[in-house]
Amino acid sequence: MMMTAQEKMYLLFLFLAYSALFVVMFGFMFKMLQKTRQLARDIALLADEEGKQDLPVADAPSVAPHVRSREL
Amino acid sequence: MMIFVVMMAFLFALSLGSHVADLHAALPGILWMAFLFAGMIGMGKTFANEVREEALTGLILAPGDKIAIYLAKLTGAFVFMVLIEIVSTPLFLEVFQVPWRGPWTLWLLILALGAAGFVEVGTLLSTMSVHTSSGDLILTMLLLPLEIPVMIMTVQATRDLLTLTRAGFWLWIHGLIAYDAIFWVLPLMLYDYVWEV
Amino acid sequence: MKKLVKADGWYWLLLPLMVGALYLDFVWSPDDRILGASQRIFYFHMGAAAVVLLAFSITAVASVTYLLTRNLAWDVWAAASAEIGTVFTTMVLVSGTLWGRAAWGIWWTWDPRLTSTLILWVLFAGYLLLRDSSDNVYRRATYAAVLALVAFADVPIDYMAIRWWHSIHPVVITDHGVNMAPHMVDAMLVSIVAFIGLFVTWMVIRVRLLRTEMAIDQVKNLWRGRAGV
Repeated sequence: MMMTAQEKMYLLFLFLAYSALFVVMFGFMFKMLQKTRQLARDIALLADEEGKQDLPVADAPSVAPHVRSREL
Repeated sequence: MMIFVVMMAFLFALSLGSHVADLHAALPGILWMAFLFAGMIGMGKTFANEVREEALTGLILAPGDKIAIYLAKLTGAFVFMVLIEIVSTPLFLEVFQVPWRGPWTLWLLILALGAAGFVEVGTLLSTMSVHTSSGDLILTMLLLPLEIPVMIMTVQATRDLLTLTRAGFWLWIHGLIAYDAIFWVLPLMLYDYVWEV
Repeated sequence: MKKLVKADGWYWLLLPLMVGALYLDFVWSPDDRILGASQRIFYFHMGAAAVVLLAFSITAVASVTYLLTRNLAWDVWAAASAEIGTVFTTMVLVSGTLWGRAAWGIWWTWDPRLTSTLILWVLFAGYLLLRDSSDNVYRRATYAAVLALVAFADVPIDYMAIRWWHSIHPVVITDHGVNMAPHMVDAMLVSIVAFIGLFVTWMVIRVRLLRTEMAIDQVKNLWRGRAGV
């Protein structure tokens, strides 16, 4: 089954359409890559700070121990 | 459980009407659907019995290999399912007016291999579902696709036995043996991990 | 902008690769003598199928390694790979039904290959469901790993289905090499490479996201411990 010139043209259109779709997707994935990189950096910073900070709450409760912390 | 299967036989027969030729063609599928439902209800109960009073923790703490618990549960479920099958198969044949064909040893072979396939996967999954939230749903969702091969092979083997075509029959039986072997070995290797948590 | 380009530099390779693959598939590759244009679906189908094999193999290996080492990093790999593999299985099924309609005249038939692929898809859908419903991170990882290994048993069966049984699904790769015109083989290989590139990018995104999720949970727990709740 040989293809007609018109069919060949349709194939070219299909190629262009799929390429355009892919370029959109490519841009989206690039954005996602950047965003995840940013997130990874942020969470590393957060964990880092966490390690340095010393919260006094746990060491010396300023209320009677039976009081739930949610009521503090 | 027996009453459940009997009810299934009548409900299927009633819902399919009384056209004898249709019933004959549909019997293998219906027979194994009934077993599948009965088996699923039975398998869900395998470990549910142990939830009360923390019996599960007791079992884990008991001396001996954990695999023994799995094998015990497996044997229990297997015997249960084979019994149901043996009792209800004649009933189904009678209700659907299908004549008894083929040697009974081959019938037993299909029933045993099919039951083994159902039970091996079911026991492993119900161990997991006891510990998970919404476990029953998960058990059903996972059990059904895993049982599809058993379903296909047992139904085809039953059909071949009823129509007395030998060549196809042994092909399906070999498939069933392979499936049973795979899911015999896999849980043995993985079971320790399921219990650890 | 320059900094952005540098950050994930390898990613830019994907753009010419994929567009090139699309060009080869749609325009450059020769027509099939019998099937005509519908044969071009095959490049997409094969690319996706190669990714499925790769993705679920990664899931299986990561699951085994998790069970042996109990390191949650492996669980992240298994989860990400299974998710993406499931998506690509969907692509295989969809492109397969389209091609089947063109070549066989039917959308679907209960052929061994088609059935085992469908089972694979349902099993990994169940895997994702299981991951969704468990509370304890370690328990979830263990159960998911066990289930992944059980589900992976279907992958070799799926691969060999067209070789063991009488299937109507065509066998392209045989013992005697690839059963196709040379130009088609080139187009197929480029498509496979491009799809794997897509898979790699997606994996990077998913793994980073899952790691972030895990890290957030850890920081949260740390805070809770500090506050004495």
